[in-house]
Amino acid sequence: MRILPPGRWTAATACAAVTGIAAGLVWSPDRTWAAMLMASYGLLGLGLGGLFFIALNDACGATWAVALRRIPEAMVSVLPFGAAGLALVFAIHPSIYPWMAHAEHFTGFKGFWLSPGFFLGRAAVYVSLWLLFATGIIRASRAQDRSDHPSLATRRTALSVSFVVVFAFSFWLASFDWIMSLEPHWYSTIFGIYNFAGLFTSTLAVVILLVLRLGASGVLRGVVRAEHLHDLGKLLFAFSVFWMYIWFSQYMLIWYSNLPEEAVYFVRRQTGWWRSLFYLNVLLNWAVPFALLLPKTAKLDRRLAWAAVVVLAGRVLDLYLMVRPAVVSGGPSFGVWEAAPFLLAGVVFVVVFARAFRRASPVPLGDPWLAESRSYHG
Amino acid sequence: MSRSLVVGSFENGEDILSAARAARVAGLTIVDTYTPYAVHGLDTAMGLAPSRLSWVCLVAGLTGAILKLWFEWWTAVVDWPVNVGGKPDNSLPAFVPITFEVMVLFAGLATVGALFAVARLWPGRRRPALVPRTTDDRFALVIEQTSAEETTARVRALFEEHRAVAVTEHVDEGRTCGRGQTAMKALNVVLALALLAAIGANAALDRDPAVPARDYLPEMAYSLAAESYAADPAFGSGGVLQVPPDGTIARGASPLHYLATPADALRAGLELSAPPIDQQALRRGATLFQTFCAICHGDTGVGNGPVVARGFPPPVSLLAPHARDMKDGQIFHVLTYGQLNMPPYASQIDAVDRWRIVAYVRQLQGSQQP
Repeated sequence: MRILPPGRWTAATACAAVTGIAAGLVWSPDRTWAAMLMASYGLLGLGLGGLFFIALNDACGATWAVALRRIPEAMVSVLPFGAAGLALVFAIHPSIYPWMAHAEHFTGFKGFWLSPGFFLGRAAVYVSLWLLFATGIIRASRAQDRSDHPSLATRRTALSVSFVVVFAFSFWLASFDWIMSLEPHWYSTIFGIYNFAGLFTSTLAVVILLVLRLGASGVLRGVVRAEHLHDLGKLLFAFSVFWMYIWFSQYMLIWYSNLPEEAVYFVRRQTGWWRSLFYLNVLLNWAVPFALLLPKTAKLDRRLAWAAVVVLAGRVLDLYLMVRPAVVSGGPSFGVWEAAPFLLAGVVFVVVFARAFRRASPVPLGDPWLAESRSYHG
Repeated sequence: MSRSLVVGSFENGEDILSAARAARVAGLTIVDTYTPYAVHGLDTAMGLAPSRLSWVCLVAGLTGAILKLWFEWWTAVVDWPVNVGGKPDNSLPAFVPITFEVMVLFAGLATVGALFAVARLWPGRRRPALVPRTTDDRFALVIEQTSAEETTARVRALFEEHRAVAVTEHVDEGRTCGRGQTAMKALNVVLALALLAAIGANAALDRDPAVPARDYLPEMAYSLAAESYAADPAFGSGGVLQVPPDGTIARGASPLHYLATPADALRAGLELSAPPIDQQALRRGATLFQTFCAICHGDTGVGNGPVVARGFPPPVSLLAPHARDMKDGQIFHVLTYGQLNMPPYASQIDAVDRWRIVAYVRQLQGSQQP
């Protein structure tokens, strides 16, 4: 099965990335830690997004993606690795958050909310909840391969419906904690939804790339149908538009009211060279994929893969724009210190995904809706 | 030109899908299909070219967006600049939502309109259904006989192979509309032309900006009666609305000259007497008692209402000697001004109804032993 590049290349890339990170921590710790935060958060987002993809389909009784479900299932395995990356940042470099470094002091509820102990406790609760649901949902799915008992499908639905609710609240708060509190004086209630939009759009892009690769030359050849690609393409298109919609909703209200404590977020991101990146973000996450994927035929040919790649680049830029201006002063820069953590996250994703994907049958053979997914008309 | 059609009716979407595929493979000419709902994949099975409606949607959407963007700019920058929060007149973020809405409006209306035009649907147009049950639970596939060797028998055999429940033959005379429909079509054209003419005339008329526009129904905008808060030098106070003279009593009101004190309650007992009461008024008093009083005093007046059961200090029983000895006017005073824990009820129950409650309390007291 060809998921992975040859082992020595993987090992070499991982070594290079780790060396880059180690060097970065010595020579430019601020930039490296900022990139570690982005890369870990992005990696965690792919695992969490995979789980949400499964849960969303199960919760609304969608059957079209059943044949492809093992792909998001295997993606969930990267969740703990993303969480571990975040834990490293919290443990070794907590001063990335100004309130942790006591550079800022808050009183009352905000002071209580942004206290180190409560912050770490909350993070542990979020991640444990996600892992709990991940284990439950995937275990039930794997059990279906061995048993055709109908209670397994019911249990998956129940778990998925609960997870969607739990995910909405926990991820919303997690994005506040981990990203928004980098600038603790600034707040935006839509920030969680904005982060969800980026999370799910990037998840869809990765699912599409994996489906294309495994369908073209891997074990899913003959399983992946044009209908699947068409529907995944529609979802990517829709969620790219959703990202834009939420991005603009956040931007326009702040722009209109023009209150200094809110506007500072966008002022910082529109000063100097940041301004170009600010507009590039909109291009990569919305304009390019929108124009690329508009025709029906585009969702069935190479343009789908290109759109997915552009969206992934947009996701990296989006994370960069959320984190970097808050952590490191001065203009934007992207070098080895930024590339190394993302490279490591990529290697971890590929290795962990490949191992997880091999552990189960590549198609959920016991799912009662498999036949439907293999024959439906889009 | 007349053409002969063979119509096969099927019971489900899967059957018509396979029949349509087979008919295409066999080289038959598919005229159309009629289904109760959109059957996924039927367009490809029929060999339809991709719909061109999406182009209408794209072009109309872009047109709407561009027009609206231009219009926003023209109103906000050229025609009537207004300073909104010190923002530049030409502020794109403010234009985006409405531009989006108008884009969707143009795209949606144009697509539906184009669909109606392509399908030749207009008000009054009637298209008799070849198989009426296609509006309910049948799926019909219509084949045209284009050559002699495509015999009806061959088509029938193909249909039946795919589980057709009925196969019928029709001759299409090529007449798409009857006389009534022609008249309706002409009427539509006339109405559309009239509308266009009205719009054109409106646009062509010159307007002098110095002349005020004509009001429609001016008596609604400019009242003949004086406005309540307008100035009026004819009055000493200078305004239309006048302060009532001292001692004015609102129509229907009867003032009570008492204070909320036990002494005044006793005085009210001596001075006020209950108006005469009839059965109907007594029933009203009972309803009011159960609505306002029973919640503390209980249905029988002993002071065991639901609020008391939940811990509110219990009121003195209305059946106690002290309450029986109260004069009617004194009870009326308590109802009006309150007493101890009891709030005043004057704002919730009017005077006439308060007297009815007094009468009902008297009846309660008379009906039970102390």
